[in-house]
Amino acid sequence: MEISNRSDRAFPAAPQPFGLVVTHQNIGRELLSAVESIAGPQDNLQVLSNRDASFGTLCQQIQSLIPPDGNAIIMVDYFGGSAHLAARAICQSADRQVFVSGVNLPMLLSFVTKRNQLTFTELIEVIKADAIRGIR
Amino acid sequence: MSLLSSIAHRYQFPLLRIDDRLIHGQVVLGWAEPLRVRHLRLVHDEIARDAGLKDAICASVPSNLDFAVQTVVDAIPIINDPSVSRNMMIVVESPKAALDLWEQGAGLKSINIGGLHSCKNRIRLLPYVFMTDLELEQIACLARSGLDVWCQDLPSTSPVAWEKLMDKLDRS
Repeated sequence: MEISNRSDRAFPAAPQPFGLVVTHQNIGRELLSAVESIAGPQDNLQVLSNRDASFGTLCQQIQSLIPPDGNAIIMVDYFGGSAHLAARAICQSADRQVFVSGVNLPMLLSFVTKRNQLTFTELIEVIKADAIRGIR
Repeated sequence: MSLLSSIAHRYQFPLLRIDDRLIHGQVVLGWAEPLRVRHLRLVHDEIARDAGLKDAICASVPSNLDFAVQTVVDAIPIINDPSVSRNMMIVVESPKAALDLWEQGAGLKSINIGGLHSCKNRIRLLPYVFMTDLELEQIACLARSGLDVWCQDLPSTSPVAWEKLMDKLDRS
């Protein structure tokens, strides 16, 4: 009888949390570019600008980008801004979608490097802490 | 007169702003702060009845501002209280909402069209102002009623009077 090592067992992999960065102008696009220059190309991470979008349009755009199933974090640049308001509106009716404000390069690097290692709840707290840690 | 108070002096209060992004940085930092607005209202029937979204918007506004989300009916008495309205900015999402306020008795004097973004059936009037034919008529109705209507996204940019914008539209 063969007993496989724990590391060899075929546990079903938890789906990778999806990330959506919603910002003013091109901040998100540039942040993603910086992240990929450091950590390589990323799947399940998209950016969206609030440029030329009303509150209602932005809500629709966010909704259309987030996978209907699975965990997702919406990272917005400015607490109190239109992206924050739209993200808040989307997340209030969804258990597995959360938003975090104040996205910066450390937060995004933390997200892409730790999203496969932590539980979703842990990930949310860790990316917030990592975003703040770089400010001295 | 300080620079800040001279900026506030240019505008008539209560200042009504039409902005389809609702309460956001341009409203709070761009307008309310330099104009020394003390009372800020978002007049929006749906959001006023959505406790979760209403709380979220309230939490995002600096605590030094007296802020609330109200229905049209609830907002009118406070808009018509001169002790409050002389320092008040009101935000609505659409020309229709501005017209509703006016027709239901809000004592408005001026209307700032600050942001109506591109969507289906809207035509471009300015980089930050797009309107449907119906919205054009709703604003025209307010202008005909004697309200001072102008477009301006930020106090630091040039205002565009509604009449001039319509003259330009007629010629194009």
